[in-house]
Amino acid sequence: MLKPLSLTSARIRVIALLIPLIFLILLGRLFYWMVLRGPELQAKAVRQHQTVTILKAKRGDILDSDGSVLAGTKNLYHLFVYKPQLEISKNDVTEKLLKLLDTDKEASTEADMRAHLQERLALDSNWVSLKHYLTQEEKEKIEAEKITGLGFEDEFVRYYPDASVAGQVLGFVGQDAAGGEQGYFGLEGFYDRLLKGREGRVRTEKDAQGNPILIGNYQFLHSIEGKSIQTTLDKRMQYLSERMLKEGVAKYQALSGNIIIMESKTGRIKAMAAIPNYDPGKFSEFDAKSYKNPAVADLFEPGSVFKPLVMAAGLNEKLVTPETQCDICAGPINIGKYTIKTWDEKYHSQTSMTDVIIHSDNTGMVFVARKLGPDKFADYMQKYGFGRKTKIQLQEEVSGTTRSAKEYGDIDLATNSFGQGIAVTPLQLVSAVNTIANRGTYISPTLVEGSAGETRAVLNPEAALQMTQIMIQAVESGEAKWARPQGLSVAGKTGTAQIPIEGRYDEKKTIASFIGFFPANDPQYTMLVTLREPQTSPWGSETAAPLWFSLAKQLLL
Amino acid sequence: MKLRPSPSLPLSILLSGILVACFGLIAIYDASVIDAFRTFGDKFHYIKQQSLWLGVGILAALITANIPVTWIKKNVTVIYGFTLMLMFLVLIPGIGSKLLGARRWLIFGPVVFQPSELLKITLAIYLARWLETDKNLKQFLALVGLNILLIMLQPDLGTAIITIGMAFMIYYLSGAKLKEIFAFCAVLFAATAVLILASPYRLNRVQTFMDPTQDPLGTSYHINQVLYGLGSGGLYGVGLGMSRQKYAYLPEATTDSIFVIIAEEFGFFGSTILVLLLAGLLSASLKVALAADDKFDKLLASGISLLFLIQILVNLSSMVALIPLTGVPLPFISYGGSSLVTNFLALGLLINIAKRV
Repeated sequence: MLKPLSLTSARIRVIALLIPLIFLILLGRLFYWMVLRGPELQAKAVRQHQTVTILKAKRGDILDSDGSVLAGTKNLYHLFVYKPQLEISKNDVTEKLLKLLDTDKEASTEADMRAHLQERLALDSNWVSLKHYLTQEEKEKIEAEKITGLGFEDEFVRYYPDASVAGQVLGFVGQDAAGGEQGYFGLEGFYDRLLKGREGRVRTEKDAQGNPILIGNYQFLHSIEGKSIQTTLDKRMQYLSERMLKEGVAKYQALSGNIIIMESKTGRIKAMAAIPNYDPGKFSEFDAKSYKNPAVADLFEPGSVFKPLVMAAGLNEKLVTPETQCDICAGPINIGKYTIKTWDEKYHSQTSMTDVIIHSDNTGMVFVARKLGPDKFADYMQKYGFGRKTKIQLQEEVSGTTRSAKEYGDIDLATNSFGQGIAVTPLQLVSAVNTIANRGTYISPTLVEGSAGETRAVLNPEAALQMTQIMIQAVESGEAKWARPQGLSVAGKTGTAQIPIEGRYDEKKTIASFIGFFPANDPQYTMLVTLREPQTSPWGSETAAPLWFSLAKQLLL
Repeated sequence: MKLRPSPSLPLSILLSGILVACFGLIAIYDASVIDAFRTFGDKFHYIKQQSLWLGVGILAALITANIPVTWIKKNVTVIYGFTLMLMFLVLIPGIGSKLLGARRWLIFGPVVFQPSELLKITLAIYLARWLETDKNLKQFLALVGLNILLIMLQPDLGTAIITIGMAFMIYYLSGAKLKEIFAFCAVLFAATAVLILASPYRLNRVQTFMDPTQDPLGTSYHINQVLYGLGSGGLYGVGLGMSRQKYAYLPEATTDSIFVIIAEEFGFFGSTILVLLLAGLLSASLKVALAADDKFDKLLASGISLLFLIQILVNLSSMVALIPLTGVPLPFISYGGSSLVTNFLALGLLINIAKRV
């Protein structure tokens, strides 16, 4: 056995030998946390130290063609308190503010407001938000009191001075998933990024209590105001269209309706009205179904208003002339198990092409479509812009579909010729018919000044003029008697499309429409009126047409 | 063969102790400047206090380095008995002050004193004397048990662990049979398990140790903040005074967690230098123990070395998450007068022994 003292020394040596090993383990572990896991831990540390304050950017305005505001931005103020700087008691702050603040929806009585302020002031953090959306006057009154510790920051709120006017063209500003400002639908949706501008940011570092760190990093990024957009809309025409549409929908007891007015030679949309509509400033109070602009988001079977387009194609291809006589119009046409009839079940043997449009003769249209054949028919559908978006600056636009030449069976060609079995948006229809008004050149519609629509030649000018003449006659001696304004020549066409429900057409449910342009010889405006399920009469000639004409009359005043 | 350490060993021990303590002063100033300014309106408050204690500590070291060892040997029972009395006193409400749920402090006018810090060193002296002659395990366990009982009545788990560790190591070095060592380990293990299971907050700490991601704002908040600090330091550190974790994120930034602030500001390289400095101090102390030719000297020198070693290991291992977070100050570095003064007092004794070998 070892002597006690040397045993002790031996045991001390064991410990002495263990020390480098232990310290190596410690340093290894330290290296692991500081270097290997460093970046990840540092990121987490930075996240808890940093705070980012967003400097809001003022959203751009939306203006009409004269520069009058359709959608503007109000500068309001957000009141906050930084408690460490407060020199008077919380109670005094509450009582002083109560005298200065206006009540609002959230705190409608003084007691509510007092409770709200007391609750906010009792919160545990140094920086507390007290109230949003103070007006300039409220802010000035509070500033005059010189209460240290209170502060303001800018807040911007969208407002629509004319409430629901052009609501479905404008869209609205709501919040995105992160609570940020986000435009939805219409121009607000389409131009969201442009209108929004860029938010600024102040990046600072704070301690665990939320106070700024003096040695902390400080980054400042200015906000950039959103750009304003000048639209092609004419506020007067828009307002008039909406008022008269509303009256029309009520008068004819329709479910809904819409009106589009396009400047014939430029494609600029002067008015785009829809009923039911909504107020973008109070969008949440309205049915979400009304948010989408039906002029670009709703597909419908156009019916007879489609006929001029097919006839114009036939004229353009010189397959028919206005005088060409129909040799299959003596009676109903049977295609397979289907029978094509006219709307009044009257048949005119050897009827001229002009009369086919005047009488809105379905069999005559089948005659034209058969002359065109599937290839040309499909080609014209495409050139008129069906089956794709018009590229109007509205977020919710849909394209609809068209058939390719191969997909055209006899029955499809026949029904398409008078506007059935094809789904288009009202805007696509207006733009297509405007081709006739614009002497054969298609112009894509636009809502924004300075952004010219693209153009393409679809019809030669002679064919367009021939078609215009036919449409003038259709108005003058057509199936309906309406109050045509004195001295105004109009080229137009009525439409009464049955609404397909589960593959069948319901006789009583129709979309009544009228499309046309005026003055016929030098068109200024191309205009479409549609009414869904009018109850007083299912016919376009007795509902949409009178509305169209009274609006045209007003526009000329 | 007998080891002859260099004649400069006593001086180098003292100087490395002072060097480490100065490192500590910088770190304390750095970690406390915000709190000092907010709480006392004087950003130098903590560093003034700590500098004062450092002065007292150096004075204490010079005294203990020069009093005759024979005097210490003769009066060991009195010294140890006096400490035990203080340990009793601190438990009496009205005499001992209760802070944060623990009764650890005696307040004499402006001086706040933690008797358990003194107990660690006087127990080491007492054990060195007591174990000069053979003692059986039962007697040893009874003695250690009394001390642990007094410490756990405060309660102070960190000090208890250090005391047990040190006492056990001195017992081992005194020539105990290995069989007894294993028996002691078994008892220790059982006692630790009971202590952990008996207290919900200790259990939480163990659970947090197993999975630091659970409840990052609650029980694992402290260890997560420790690791954020280490990770922010990287290789080179964020620079002197640039710590972000000291802004009230890291609990106990000037005391138990001070190593984190050093690591964050000086990086892996800087903190490695500190760790090596501490390792150097330890190996110098063990050299003294090896060189001593009297059993009392040998046991006392190694007891003091082990006291330093265990405190350093427990503190650093907690900080790098090798063991569950345990509140133990880092010797010579952490803020706290009782700890700093008694550590220098021990350093003085070590020098005293070194001078005579």
